Amino acid sequence: MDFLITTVLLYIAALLVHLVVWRIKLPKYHTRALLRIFAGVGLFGLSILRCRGLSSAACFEIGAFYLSLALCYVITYSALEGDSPTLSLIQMLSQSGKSGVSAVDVDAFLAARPFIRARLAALRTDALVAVDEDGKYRITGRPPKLFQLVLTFRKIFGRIQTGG
Amino acid sequence: MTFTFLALAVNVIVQVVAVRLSRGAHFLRSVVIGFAAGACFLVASELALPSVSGSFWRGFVANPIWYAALSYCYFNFINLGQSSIRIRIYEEIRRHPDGIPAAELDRKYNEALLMHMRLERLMESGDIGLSSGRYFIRRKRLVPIAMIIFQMKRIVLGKESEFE
Repeated sequence: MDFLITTVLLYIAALLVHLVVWRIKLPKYHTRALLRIFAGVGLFGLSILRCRGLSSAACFEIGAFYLSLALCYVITYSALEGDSPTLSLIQMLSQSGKSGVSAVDVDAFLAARPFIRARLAALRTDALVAVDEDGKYRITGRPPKLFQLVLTFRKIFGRIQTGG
Repeated sequence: MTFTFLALAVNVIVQVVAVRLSRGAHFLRSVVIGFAAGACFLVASELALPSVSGSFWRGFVANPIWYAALSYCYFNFINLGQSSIRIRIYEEIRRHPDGIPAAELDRKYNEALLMHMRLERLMESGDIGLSSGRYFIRRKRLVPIAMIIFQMKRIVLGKESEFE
């Protein structure tokens, strides 16, 4: 039970640090800042536990469990950082109640949310793509490891017809 | 720890085989099948060899939470390649080493078309309905998810939308 409680406490500590930092100032690169916070709190907590006599094996296990939970949050955070077209629509329709929303209002709501332009802007902010003088979009350098991994997995799966 | 990662391996293998067998037709079903197979493996292992985990809490509380966390990460990772607009745009630009004109990118990833497809998909799945020119919520399964995400946005980011 100690294993579970220790990991959860470390996780809560990291979430609190994250909330405090976000309240003070939103970082430019959210995901990078989040990963640094989780890594910092994790390493700090584990080094204290190690100094207080916890075995290396136990520290490693707690670290691995903590890392899994941290990744869950970082993944979920990406849904907070950028709006999901589907969830935005569901939220808007659920707020309207049984009367629903006219097709014209739905169109206006979606027109005010240029999701593709926002994703393209995020790719440029992260310096993953750039625009040439002739107005063409290009990849800058090699794709990051995560992108390479995702693209490799797409090949393993083959063509997905539905879902996702 | 060993059982948790072995269960994840079972999850991944079964999911990949399931999606390949269905030729990509049942992506979400393959995710559920993979998760269930891994969970069955984990429970069976904990029952067969309880001494490995050492305690009830570790074997039947912490390890299942850990397995769920790892499966969540895996699901989001593979889902990223299927549904992420960002990944798709990035891949599209990557396919053009000489650069892709903004107009062509705009044609392929048209905002209005994307929204139309989302609306169609939500109507096909029965989540929303259209009657007398008005859209309304039909099935409420996505409403709690949207509520949680938007509530988290308010707490963490202090705003509901990236377009505010």
